[in-house]
Amino acid sequence: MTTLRLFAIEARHNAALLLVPVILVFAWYMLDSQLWEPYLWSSTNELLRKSVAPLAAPAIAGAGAWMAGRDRRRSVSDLLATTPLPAARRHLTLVSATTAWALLGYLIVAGYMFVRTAPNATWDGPEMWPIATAVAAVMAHGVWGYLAGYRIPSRFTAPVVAIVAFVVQLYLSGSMTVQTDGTQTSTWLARLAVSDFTPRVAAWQALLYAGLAAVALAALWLLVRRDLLRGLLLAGAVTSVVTGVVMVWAGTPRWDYANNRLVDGWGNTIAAEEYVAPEPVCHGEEVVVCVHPQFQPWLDRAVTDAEYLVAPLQGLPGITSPVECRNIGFAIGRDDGSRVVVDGCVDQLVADEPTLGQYGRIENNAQQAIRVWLLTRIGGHTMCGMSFDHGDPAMGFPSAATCEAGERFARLPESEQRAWLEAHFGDLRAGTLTLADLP
Amino acid sequence: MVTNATLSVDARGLTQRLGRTTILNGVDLQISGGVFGLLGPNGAGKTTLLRTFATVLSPASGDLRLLGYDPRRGAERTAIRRRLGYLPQHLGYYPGFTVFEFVEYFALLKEMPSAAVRPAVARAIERVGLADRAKSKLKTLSGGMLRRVGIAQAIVNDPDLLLLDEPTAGLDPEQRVLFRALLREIGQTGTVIISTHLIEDVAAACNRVALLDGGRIVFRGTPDDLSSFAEGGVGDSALERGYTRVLAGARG
Amino acid sequence: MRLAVLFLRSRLVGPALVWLGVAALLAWFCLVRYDDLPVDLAALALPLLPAVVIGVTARSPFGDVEEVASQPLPLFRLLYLAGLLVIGIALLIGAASVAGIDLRLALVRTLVGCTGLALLSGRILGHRLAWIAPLAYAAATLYLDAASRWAWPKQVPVEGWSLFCGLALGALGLLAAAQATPRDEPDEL
Repeated sequence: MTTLRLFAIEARHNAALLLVPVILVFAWYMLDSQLWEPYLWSSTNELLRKSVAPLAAPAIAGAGAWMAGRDRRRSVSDLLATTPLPAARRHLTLVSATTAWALLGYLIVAGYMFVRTAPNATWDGPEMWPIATAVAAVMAHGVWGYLAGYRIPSRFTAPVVAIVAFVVQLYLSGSMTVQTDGTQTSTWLARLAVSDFTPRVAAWQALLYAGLAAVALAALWLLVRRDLLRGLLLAGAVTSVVTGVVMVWAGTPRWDYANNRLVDGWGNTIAAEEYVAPEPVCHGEEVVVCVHPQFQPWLDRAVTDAEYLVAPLQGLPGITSPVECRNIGFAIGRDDGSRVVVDGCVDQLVADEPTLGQYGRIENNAQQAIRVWLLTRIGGHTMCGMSFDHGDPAMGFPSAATCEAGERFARLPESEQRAWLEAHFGDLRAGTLTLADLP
Repeated sequence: MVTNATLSVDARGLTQRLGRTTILNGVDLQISGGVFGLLGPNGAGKTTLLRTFATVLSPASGDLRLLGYDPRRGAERTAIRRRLGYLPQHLGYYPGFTVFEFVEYFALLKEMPSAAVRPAVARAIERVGLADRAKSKLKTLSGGMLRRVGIAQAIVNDPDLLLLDEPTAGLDPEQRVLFRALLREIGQTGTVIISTHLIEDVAAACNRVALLDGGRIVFRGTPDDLSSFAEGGVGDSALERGYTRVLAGARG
Repeated sequence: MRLAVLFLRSRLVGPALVWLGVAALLAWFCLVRYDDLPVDLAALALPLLPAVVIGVTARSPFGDVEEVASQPLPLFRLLYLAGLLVIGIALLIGAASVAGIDLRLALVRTLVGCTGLALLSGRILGHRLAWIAPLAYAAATLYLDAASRWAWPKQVPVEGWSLFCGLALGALGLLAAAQATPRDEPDEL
């Protein structure tokens, strides 16, 4: 009862209370800018994963560090030292109250999104393991922040902790490494990011973050009071963290090029059935759009927008009737707020299949330039200027020259565009043109 | 383990150091009941002595028993703290807490029974004359009121040992009079030790007094005993003159 | 000279310089280790730490006592904050140069702008909490279209509007922090 009452007092006067409206505003902002109705489980789940990493986790880390310094800032340390309640319990109550607010904000957002998505989504369902990972990650960040603030009582601790957590999550979620010995190490490091989700390793991710939280708690208890039980707790927590990291590495699938199979970290073949694509659903007459079943609520709109995409290419060599846009997924983007961007279809329109590269993408620069034009026309993301390497067509990043050529083509009058396409579209699809051949 | 149940404080050869500086040098003090005054010039070690009695600091050497318990042992230290009240010289506080919340917070930290907390908090706040400000945030209070809030948290658990460091700092004369009456009331059932510069507080409230100088006890006795040394001393009252005379004698 | 030394020590400039160095090391590590990440994320994230380090030094520990001094404190504040900013810029550019990445102007723009944001928000929240606004703004900017005017911290290459935003915020923040008195600082949480 005493602990509950203390928890209530600490929660009511906690700096992290302010995180709840911030998380809610941030979530509303992400919803407004990233999702459109009808919501899909895939995009809902992705939003819930992504909302934790860039704001909730670093913010709670900073809040934890700030609250850990409260007693020192307010000069009540001496007074608190004279009270009989164990210091470890006092700290645990405060760190719990601190992380509770961030968790509450996140769970409110998660609950709201589940309720809004469930009525219309036709495929898949809510991902519970990423929620568990996010909860564990928020707790871990909060406790580590608190530990840092307790151990290093400085005005720099809270900002350093918050910003470093932000940068680490940002870079973890984008990390990639590629080896050249016949196997590709896929992004196992990225699996450590809160925003990443792979079904095979999801539970280990959650274990990893729960273990990190436990390590920080045990370390805090040991700082406050040394005894064997806390030492054992620390050892157990470290073990769970190590286990989590190892199992995430082991469970991350990677492609064994030498033997043309998917393997896990131990070299065991991963069953092909896990990755068989579902039967797509199709719709349309002039342009038939086939998509992954999860996009069925968007199919009518996709057909309308695919017809708009194909319109300037109708009747050109290589463009069949009806046009078939076979995608397993497409980007839902907008220019004026309404258009579905079937950019996955664009590559099939401007290139014959044999000319597509290793990853099924356009590699020819002239084809890339026309792709830039088509994407610009439908409001898609051209990926221009996104890479340090100034262009990597195999990975979907056009060079500056390619982007310029595509944007130049987009500025031509429609009649000139059509005239050029009628003269050169066949060669374009065959991959024999260069940027110099574009107007 | 209880060794001498009649003494609230039993210090023998108590020593306290800060780095290489000796703050308390072999302090012997036995206190049982009533109001005990601790006098001394700045830097004499009064605050350090009080912090040691409050179990904030562990003695560097010597023997110390508080309420019959050894504060060096974990379980006994906890037992002491349940029956202890402490007001430090510089009271920190959380500005956003109300008066009631602040006192309640420390009542909970002192592991008072849940059912007894709220009535005890209300009584403590009333005893220090802040009943009408119970719901005011601490940041809205004056310095004197904050001091009274500090006293309220120190007495909320009806402590057997109450330690007050400069308790009347910031209090106006009327409040000081009321406070001395409160001290005498508490001293009837428990032990109060106050550290103060104000001679009149000692004269009005204390049964016994000790004078600390350079980390050593240079006088023990009643206020009247101290006043008897007045001849040759400097000051406006007999007690003050006795104080200055004893200090001068201790310094050779 | 002695006054300057004591003033700088009271603002924890020594530890701030250490943290600016750490921030530069972190930037170098990220640029070298993860060179395939989008430039806009690097331009957004790497200047954040030095910006908030500079922001939190603005708090005065002395209160009213300092304000009744006859020395020109606003000038002292302006000079030392500008000095820290210059050092932070130099270290960040150095880190990018050593890593072989040409992002100098973008890093400087974001650092100046986020420092200004930290100093301005410090006047509202208290300078010890000056890190909140830059972090929240950076997190929001992650999801903005790069062409949006609000996304100036991550726009690469640096163009007129984003440069203006960074410099203007920086200038406003420096002036605001220079003018701050203890009574302007709210009770922190």
